[in-house]
Amino acid sequence: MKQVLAKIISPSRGISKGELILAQAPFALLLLQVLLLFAERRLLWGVDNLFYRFGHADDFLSNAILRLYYTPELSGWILIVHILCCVLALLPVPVAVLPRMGAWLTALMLYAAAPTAYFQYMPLLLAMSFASIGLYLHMPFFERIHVRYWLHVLMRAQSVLFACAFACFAWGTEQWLQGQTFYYAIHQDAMIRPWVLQQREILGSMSAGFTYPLMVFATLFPLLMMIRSMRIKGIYVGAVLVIAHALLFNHVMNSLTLALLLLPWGIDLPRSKQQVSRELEER
Amino acid sequence: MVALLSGNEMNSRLIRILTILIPVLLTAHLLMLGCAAFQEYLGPRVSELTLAYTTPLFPVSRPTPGKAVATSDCNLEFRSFKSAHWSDWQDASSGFGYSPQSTTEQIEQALCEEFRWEVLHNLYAVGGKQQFDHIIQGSTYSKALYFIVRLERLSEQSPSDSIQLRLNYRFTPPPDQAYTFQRSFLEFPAFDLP
Repeated sequence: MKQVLAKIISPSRGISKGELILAQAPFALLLLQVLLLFAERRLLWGVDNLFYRFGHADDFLSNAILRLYYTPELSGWILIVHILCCVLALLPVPVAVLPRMGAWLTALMLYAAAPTAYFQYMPLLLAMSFASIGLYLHMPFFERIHVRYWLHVLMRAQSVLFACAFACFAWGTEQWLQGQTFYYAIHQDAMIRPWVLQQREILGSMSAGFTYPLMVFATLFPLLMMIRSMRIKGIYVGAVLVIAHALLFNHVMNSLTLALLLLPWGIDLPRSKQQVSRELEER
Repeated sequence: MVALLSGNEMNSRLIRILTILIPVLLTAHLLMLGCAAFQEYLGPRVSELTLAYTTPLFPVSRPTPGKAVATSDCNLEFRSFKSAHWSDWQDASSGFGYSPQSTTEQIEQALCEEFRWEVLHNLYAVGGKQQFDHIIQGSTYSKALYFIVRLERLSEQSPSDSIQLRLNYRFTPPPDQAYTFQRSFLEFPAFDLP
């Protein structure tokens, strides 16, 4: 019994530091997001919340995930469980897979009850956190089915799909093709940081200089990441774009979620035990 | 049966089951998402099934990165009828003391975004006069009205007899034209609160 317990709660040996960061980062962002919204919890999830409620289908999934949407009386409990699960999800132990599932499910419930209060890329953060639920699982059984490898691949695939979608929309939109998107974006008062308000005429004249690099980067993102020799340079360019985004636009969570897309590429894929032992034999 | 199997046999059997089950589940998931994306081309029975799966899991539509940005800045404003007179027009969030960077402002902007769609598709004119009936019947108007009533209640103000909403548009001049801004207001009819 003691041995079993030790196995369950033992720190994640065999997992690199990078993998640990990749596994923890989405849940750290979920925790940060709920803490940012915590002061306004009454407005968003409480009994007197601001949202006009509509009927949904009476099926199992709707009743489970949209529970908070219908019964705001539960909001306090769900918030507490969510915060607790997010904190426990950061522990580097295999058993953290349970609070991770809890954190993801409660995040989905909180998001479903107040979607417009969240930042634009919250669905992306939910998708990334879902993929990272099992990244700590390094027990023999999960190693054999290469869970960590496939989840890591899924996170990479999600980032590539996002970049591809971005590029497809941008190349199909006249405003992007004319290099004017940045100009119009900085004229949306609620989108920009206060310092941009004073400088937007000057920044607006450089719109093409901001719009085209973003389009080109999104288009080349899959290539930059898949060609190993280009990857680090691509990550640096991506980091510069994310920092520029954070400096210009509100909603730091959007910038952090975009940064999260670079993370699976900055960390090598976990190798299975068989691969490692084969390599050792070849040497 | 399970008790008769050794640990290794159980593991290999479980791996086999999972090897079949996981791709099947993943395919079903992707199929559902694909059907939800093209639901207008499918029959009502298929879309009913796919929506039952996708609506709870994806409560709002996925973000569309790379879309065009609006060429105008929009704000939701309101005025209330109390003690036999109308108040001045106020911004929906800052009128109740919320900052432009607050979540309340974000919710207001989401409502404005929905109103853009409503105005584009449901605002029409008869005899040169704007008709709001289609917009008022829509959910966005109800949501906006509810938003104001709840903010009023949360700020512990005395309840209004009527509330009137308007959209305040500030049009961004195209980059190659003079840098001057035009404003336009779209006033909805007053709503008498029960």
